[in-house]
Amino acid sequence: MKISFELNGLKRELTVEPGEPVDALLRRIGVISIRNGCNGEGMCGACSVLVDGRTVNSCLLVAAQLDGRQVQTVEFFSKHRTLSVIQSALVDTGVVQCGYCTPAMVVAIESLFQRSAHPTREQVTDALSGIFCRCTGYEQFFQAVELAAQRLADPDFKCPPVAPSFREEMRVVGKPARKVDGSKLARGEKAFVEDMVEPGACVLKMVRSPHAHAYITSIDTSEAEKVPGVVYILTHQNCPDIYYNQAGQGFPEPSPYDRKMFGQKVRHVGDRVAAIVAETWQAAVEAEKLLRVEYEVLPHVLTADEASAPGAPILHNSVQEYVVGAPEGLDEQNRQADPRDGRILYQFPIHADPRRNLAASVHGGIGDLEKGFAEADVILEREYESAQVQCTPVEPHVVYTRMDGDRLVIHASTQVPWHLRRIVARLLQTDENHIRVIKERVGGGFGAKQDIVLEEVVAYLTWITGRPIFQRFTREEEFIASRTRHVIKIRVKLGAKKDGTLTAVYMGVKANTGPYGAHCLTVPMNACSKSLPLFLCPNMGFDVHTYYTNIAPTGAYQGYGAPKGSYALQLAVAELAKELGMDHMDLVEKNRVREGVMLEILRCLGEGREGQPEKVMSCGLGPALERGRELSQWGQRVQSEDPDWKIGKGFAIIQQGSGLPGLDSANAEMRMLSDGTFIMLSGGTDLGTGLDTVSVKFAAEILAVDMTKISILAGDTDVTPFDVGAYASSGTYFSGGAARNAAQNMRQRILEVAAGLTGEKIEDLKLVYPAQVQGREKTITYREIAHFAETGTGCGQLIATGHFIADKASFPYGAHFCQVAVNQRTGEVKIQKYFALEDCGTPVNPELALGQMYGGVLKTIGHSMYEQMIYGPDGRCLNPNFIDYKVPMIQDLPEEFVAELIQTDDPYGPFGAKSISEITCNGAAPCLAEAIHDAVGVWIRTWPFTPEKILAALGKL
Amino acid sequence: MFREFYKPATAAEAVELRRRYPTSLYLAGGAEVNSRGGHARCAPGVEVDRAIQIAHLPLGGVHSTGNGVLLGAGTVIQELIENPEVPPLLARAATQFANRNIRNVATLGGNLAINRSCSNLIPSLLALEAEITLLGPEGERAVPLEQYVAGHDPASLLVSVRVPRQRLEAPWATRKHSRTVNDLSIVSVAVVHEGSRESLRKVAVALGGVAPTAVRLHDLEERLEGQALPDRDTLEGWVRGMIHPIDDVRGGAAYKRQVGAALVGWALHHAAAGRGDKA
Repeated sequence: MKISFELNGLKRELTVEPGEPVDALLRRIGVISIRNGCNGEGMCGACSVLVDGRTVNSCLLVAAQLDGRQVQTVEFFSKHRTLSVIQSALVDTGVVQCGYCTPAMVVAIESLFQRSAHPTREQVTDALSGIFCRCTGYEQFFQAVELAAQRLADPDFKCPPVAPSFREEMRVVGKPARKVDGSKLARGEKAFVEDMVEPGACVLKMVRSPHAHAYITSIDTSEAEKVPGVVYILTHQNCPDIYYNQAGQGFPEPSPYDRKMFGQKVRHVGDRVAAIVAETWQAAVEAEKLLRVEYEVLPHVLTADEASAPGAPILHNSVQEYVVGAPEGLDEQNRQADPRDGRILYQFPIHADPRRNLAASVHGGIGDLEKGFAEADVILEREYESAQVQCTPVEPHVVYTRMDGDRLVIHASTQVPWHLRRIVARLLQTDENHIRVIKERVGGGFGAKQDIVLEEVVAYLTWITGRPIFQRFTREEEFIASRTRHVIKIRVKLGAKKDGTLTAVYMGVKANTGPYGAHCLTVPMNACSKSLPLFLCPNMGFDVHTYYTNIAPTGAYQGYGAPKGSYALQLAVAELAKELGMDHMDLVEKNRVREGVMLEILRCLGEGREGQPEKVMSCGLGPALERGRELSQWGQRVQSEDPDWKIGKGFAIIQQGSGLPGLDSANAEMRMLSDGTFIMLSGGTDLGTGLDTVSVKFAAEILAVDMTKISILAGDTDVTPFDVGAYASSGTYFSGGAARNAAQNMRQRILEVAAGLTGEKIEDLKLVYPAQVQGREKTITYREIAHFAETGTGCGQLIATGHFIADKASFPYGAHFCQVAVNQRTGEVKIQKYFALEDCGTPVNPELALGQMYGGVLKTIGHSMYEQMIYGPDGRCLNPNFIDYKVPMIQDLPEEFVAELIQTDDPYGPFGAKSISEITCNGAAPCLAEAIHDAVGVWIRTWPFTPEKILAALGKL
Repeated sequence: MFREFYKPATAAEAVELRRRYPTSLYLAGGAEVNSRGGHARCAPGVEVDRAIQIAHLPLGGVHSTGNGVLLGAGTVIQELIENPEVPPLLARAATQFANRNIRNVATLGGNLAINRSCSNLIPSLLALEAEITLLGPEGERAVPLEQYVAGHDPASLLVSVRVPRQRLEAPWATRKHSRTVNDLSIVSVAVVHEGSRESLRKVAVALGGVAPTAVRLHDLEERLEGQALPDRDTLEGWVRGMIHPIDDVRGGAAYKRQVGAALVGWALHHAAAGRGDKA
């Protein structure tokens, strides 16, 4: 049918399929700012546009409904290259993180300002109530709208600082400044993988297992292949016989190579059965219907307890091989293997026993636990369990691959471009020089994009067929075939003297890794390594056992194992305080980590390698606790006016690491351009966190120039040097450290050349702002140096590289406090106050660091209170969508929500900086659980803390 | 997915199209029928392929009349919040409906016609003893909303909703219990009563989420007629015995029963205290 409507002020007449969703239609005609995060459920709002001035989800409209309407998208509001007042305010206040939802937020706020020139907090909440953002935690949107309102009322409005500044002696480090990619994202420009797809690209549709555990007894693709437009079908029958692990970890990985791209055995509902490459989606759908697959269905297990029970069905009855360290008796075990299960290759022992479904195990400790418990006056033993939660980046997993001559180009939304290249090269049996990975802007990663969950198949099929191929996960695939938090049950046993001195601390970790062993050793181990070192106790021990089961795959998720370990250990300490009749904070003060102490426990907590004791060089825990005590009015009971509601408080202390010393490595390169400005080539992978901005700030600080004099290219394996990627909170520390080192080497080059040109000694020269080298007598500009370098008699372009590794660890610390009200009759919990105090050393981008804190806290409030993947008895996830799996939206914010940065100066981190991202995920669960207990007297020892569990604990059900 | 679109000139024409095509549905805002790329069903297993557009028909508007308030079925939910003519109970329930993006397209008639137990608008209108006007092949007829909800008739076109005048001034309360604010309700309640706390009259108690459709608790209402308001625990005990929710992904039966009972007790006390517009 023909429709006529106004798009961004211009009349458009189109012939359309009347049932085409409007979000797809708008993208098809070139409005690329329209995003899609829920496959047209209408739950995420990423496709928001204004229709006749009202914010609506364009995915909920069909083309026919557009007839005669007026449509405005973000493109309408920023003319040419300028930013609108609202876009500027969003960038200035740091709410543009990954940027995937930003265009939607812009139009919603534009519409809000049409209703009100000075919106209240309530109006802002209402205006943004339908748009899901997983990064920011929404809190700074209030600030952004306030700033926009001021600027709209008074164009000369002098903006007060949007966030505190740190490190007075520095020009740019520690100061709020516009994120380097902020403008592009706020304008909704071409930035993400889906924007790079060229016309004519094929699509890939993954056919997935309907069974939780089964052998494929036959696959007949012959009819499916006859469908016009079908290009190739890949199954276990024609897939290379190469085993690997999808975890994007450094090689050799501590995760077992326990899968092929396609196996004869499927191990979870949603496991791969066949990949159909077709010229159109319709052809792929048609082919899927004609695919004949027969299964021999096997019994399945969904929990670690079931998996570890005697006689449990074995997920990987595979032939085991070891690169090094094969255990004894392997041949005997291998004789009993079932060839249909395939093989497992271990790079080194992770103490697995797949015939018992044991994916990995580790044990360790210091001192003498038995002696410690014998010395205790009080022993407390409790068990805590986390739920399976999904990362839910608004941009699902997506990849576009194409050939460029004989080379393969992968446009990826990944946290690990170089691991991706390595893994793909191995599967293609080619060399890495034939592959280029371009990390585009990433619409949220949160750990799910640390793993190679779709890229390798698409890459392989482009390599085979030569065709460009695009694949984008549906929201359901994101739940059932991407990555989730490991389900972990932790038994904590504490021994203490009457005065609260801890005499023994034990954590017994039983983890469920799902069907494959991505991160199966390191995530559960991390539950111990980021929890135990918060307390000083001579006798500590841990046991970790990870089991295979048939739930959806697990893996890395912001915080890694720490949120689970923190929940268990922190809550156990809160319970111990009650048992001892002590104030929880007094008990923590008595036993907590402090600056200058040696953490002996780390000796046995390396990530798949030998650990080493570490000295705590910077620790802001003391000030964080002090500030939290003050903000929360700790110790003062608050009475509710409504007898249904009881009020309680809780707190937890938290830590994380800053990358993986001894394992991680990052590189950067700087080039001076002809006019004395710079290009920074960074291996770092900015996921929206502001890493590119960190790198530019470090270089601008060192080279005495404005940030605008340094442009950055990052995460392109052809162009930028190697970096392990963005995980384990390594960005600022490692990738930032490499950028700093490159800038320092550039400074050295500048000084050397300047010395030659001025005839002064290097030690008499210094860089002075802006872009000059000053000696005792002479001053020379970078422009002059650059010009000299490039002339026929010059020294050649100034190029400097920087490499960063670390052998010392820098731990960020913090404390979270909250106040909740619990309804005794309905079990509802209202989070009245939440205070997050964190020490990330020097906060390099203060407003973005705060945004990471708000985002991480709100995410984990979701995990603690309502998020959970639920399975039916057949192993099928019952809620793989945003209708049934709820994520926090702006209306779910705590009533009072405060994040504050506690400055310390870390001697190892670049400019004293430590990490900020993951630590922020570790506090919500234990502090909320303690507050619920404080309110109504029940300990909720499993995630999530639903009204149903609270009512049950209160004896109301 | 919709393949054919009709734009009838009149409501009667819309009804005729709906009668003629068994695989058709009325398309007002589209919040429901377009969700997930338009995989709506008009009956179990029957995929919809024809849309009868009704957004352009004069079905909107909120009018105060001599015998109450008449709400056009095409009124978008957001207008229920913004229009001062809307009964405060319904306006309050509308604020708890999904989020602004959805409220800007979803219509009152659409929500009633889908008739989900988790709708938090239906209990409000049940408590207000609303009557709806349906247009079928035989012409217009007025039926109590309660009757429509119980014996759902999706083929007729819902034209308007009338809230009787005597319920407009009566004390009321409503509340939605859900995991997140945006979530569909797990249980929702609305009550309206006349008389006083000491002598209740014409109590209407409606609950969503505890039965296949939203329901009135007539047993409870009869028990309360002419009585003084019992205390919360007594009410909870009574209600627990009167409702029979099911176990599903969103919670177990025992939990929903307790929450339903607690919400009814809260709502009756809240209404009797004249605090309907407070949370």
